Amino acid sequence: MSLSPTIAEGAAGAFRSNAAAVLAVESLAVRRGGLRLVEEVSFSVRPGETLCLVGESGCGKSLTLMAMLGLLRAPLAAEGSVRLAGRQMIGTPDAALDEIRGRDAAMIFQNPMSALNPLRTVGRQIEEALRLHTDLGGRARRREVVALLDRVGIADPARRAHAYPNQLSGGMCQRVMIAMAIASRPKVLLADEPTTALDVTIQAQILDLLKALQVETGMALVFVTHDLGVVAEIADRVAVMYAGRIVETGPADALFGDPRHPYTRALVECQIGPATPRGAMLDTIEGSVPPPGARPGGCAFATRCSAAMGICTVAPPAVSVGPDHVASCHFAGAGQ
Amino acid sequence: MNAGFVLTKLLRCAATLFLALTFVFVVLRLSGDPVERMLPDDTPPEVQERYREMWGLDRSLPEQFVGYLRSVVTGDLGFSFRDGREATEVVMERVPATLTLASLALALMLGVGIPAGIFAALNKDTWLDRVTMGATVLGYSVPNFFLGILLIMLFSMTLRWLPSSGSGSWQHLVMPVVTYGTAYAGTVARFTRSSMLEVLGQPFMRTAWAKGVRWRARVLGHALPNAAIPLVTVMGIRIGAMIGGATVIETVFGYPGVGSLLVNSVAQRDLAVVQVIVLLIAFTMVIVNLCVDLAYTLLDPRVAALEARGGAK
Ligand SMILES: Nc1ncnc2c1ncn2[C@@H]1O[C@H](COP(=O)(O)OP(=O)(O)OP(=O)(O)O)[C@@H](O)[C@H]1O
Ligand code: SF4
Ligand SMILES: [Mg+2]
Repeated sequence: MSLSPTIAEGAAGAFRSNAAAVLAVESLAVRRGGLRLVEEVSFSVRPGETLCLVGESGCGKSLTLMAMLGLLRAPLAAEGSVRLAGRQMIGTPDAALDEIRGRDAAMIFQNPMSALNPLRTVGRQIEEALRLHTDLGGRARRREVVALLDRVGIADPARRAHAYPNQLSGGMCQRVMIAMAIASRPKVLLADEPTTALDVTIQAQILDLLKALQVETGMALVFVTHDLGVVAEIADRVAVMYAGRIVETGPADALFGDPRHPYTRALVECQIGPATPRGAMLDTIEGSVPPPGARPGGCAFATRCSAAMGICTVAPPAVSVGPDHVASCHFAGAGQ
Repeated sequence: MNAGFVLTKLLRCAATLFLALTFVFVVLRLSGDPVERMLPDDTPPEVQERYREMWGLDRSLPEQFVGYLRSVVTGDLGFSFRDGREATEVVMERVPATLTLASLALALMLGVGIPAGIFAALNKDTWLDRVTMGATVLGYSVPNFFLGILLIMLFSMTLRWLPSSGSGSWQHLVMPVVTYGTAYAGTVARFTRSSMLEVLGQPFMRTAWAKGVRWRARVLGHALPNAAIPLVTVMGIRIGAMIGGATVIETVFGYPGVGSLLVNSVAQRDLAVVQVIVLLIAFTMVIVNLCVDLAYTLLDPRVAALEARGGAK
């Protein structure tokens, strides 16, 4: 791709025209006192679209998701703007967000077993979501619970509804979590490494299930993962995070075919190297992510970047390098 | 809950009881010749011999043990040395007073301790938390007898609002119940707090939050039942001990319960009565433990599953 580069004001600039977005994040930051754990995160997602958030451990993916649903507790605090189904999530009182959480946007997590209340049957936990977010009466709810369990591929759903989480496998618990999440037909599903803790065959089944549900309901999906193999399978668009910021974002094929940020390039290269099995993690780049307190001024990747130059002590601009494709590097436009 | 599980528990209870009985037998026999200790020093040897025969002390230890077990089963545990009545009768007439005191103190302990613990956990690391936890330190670091004496000095001697000793009216109960209840309310509060904090940090609490469950329902509906499970164990032991009698409290307030009877009987070497009380305490502990075990399986499906899978551990 050799489009002439234009310098945008911020990564969000590239998407700002997109009115149909169901989730629009602009300049989101997560702070702990003076420490900025996540900064200048901007992206938007349209109905039916899948955005993958990738990056090494500790780069702020989970914090970003939590901030979007207002799930941060003091001393953590979010700033910026998150518009979800037309409503502003940042700055809205916690109690008011209870109406939105689980209804307009639902969330699933990495360890499905511990994400379910061990003292309640899974049916009761799904029913709680229905009670909170639908008008269904008691009997209709219980019927819907069974239908939901059936939909997420749990055999013998009427009996399994009475099971406790400890009686189900990890994969089944994740299916239960998904059933609970889609109970109210949310517009957005936030998934924080939902398959990382599962073995490979189950992983693939869960991904297929999520894709199928997305086609059925038209929900948008924000999917956090370490695994570029998973990204290649489900992402429409990708946002690569490094040290609390998005360093490159774009359509999945453009980002894989023509990565412009040296970090993305390193990720893609070590992923497709002959010795690397599908599903290899991202921690194969030499060096480690600087912790939030010790990030260098200028480009945070400079300590590990093979292309770093003197200018990299100055914060790099977000450079638009293609349609919907933005990279934050001084040399992103230089099309190597 | 399956029958096999209950049966195993019952068998284990029986075994524990048998051990407790044996222990009491051995300790009371080891502590010296009861005849020598109970009769005046100048009792003629023939008379001592008569007593030994009468109490079966002249027989071999195994024979004595069998006789002892038989008497426990039949409830025929000998006579009080002091007033000649059956020892069981002497003890049993004290039980209602102790039960009244213990259950009221228990209600106070849980009624104050649990809400205080929840409150502190929800306000973790704020001054509210620190004040509450400071109060609990006072609660368990001030000895029972000391608090009792302070209360007597204030409410009985200075203000003359409450009787300093005895029983029979609600006024008599106020100070013993307060002293007894607050002694452990602090422990309960601390335990509730740490148990709550642990649960509040669990991933499933975040799930409930992300699902739109309101704060109140998250705390009361999701967190509290989970936090209650470890509490049940601690409370079980506490409750068992409480029903067994409050020796210090009953003595300070001259309250006629099992605890003060135990103190008096030991002082006067009324062995039959001491034996009945010790057995009563052992029984209570075992029964309460059984109840705790059963409550566990009702509360926690994980324990039930474990028991169903592998039988008793
Ligand atoms: N409560 C907190 N207080 C202080 N720092 C925190 C807190 N939670 C997270 N962090 C820090 O913020 C950074 C981002 O954390 P986050 O959990 O979002 O990472 P992540 O990208 O999800 O990593 P992983 O892949 O390991 O889940 C990390 O450096 C982490 O140490
Ligand atoms: S700005 Fe410099 S240091 Fe940062 S990624 Fe680009 S070349 Fe590397
Ligand atoms: Mg994470």
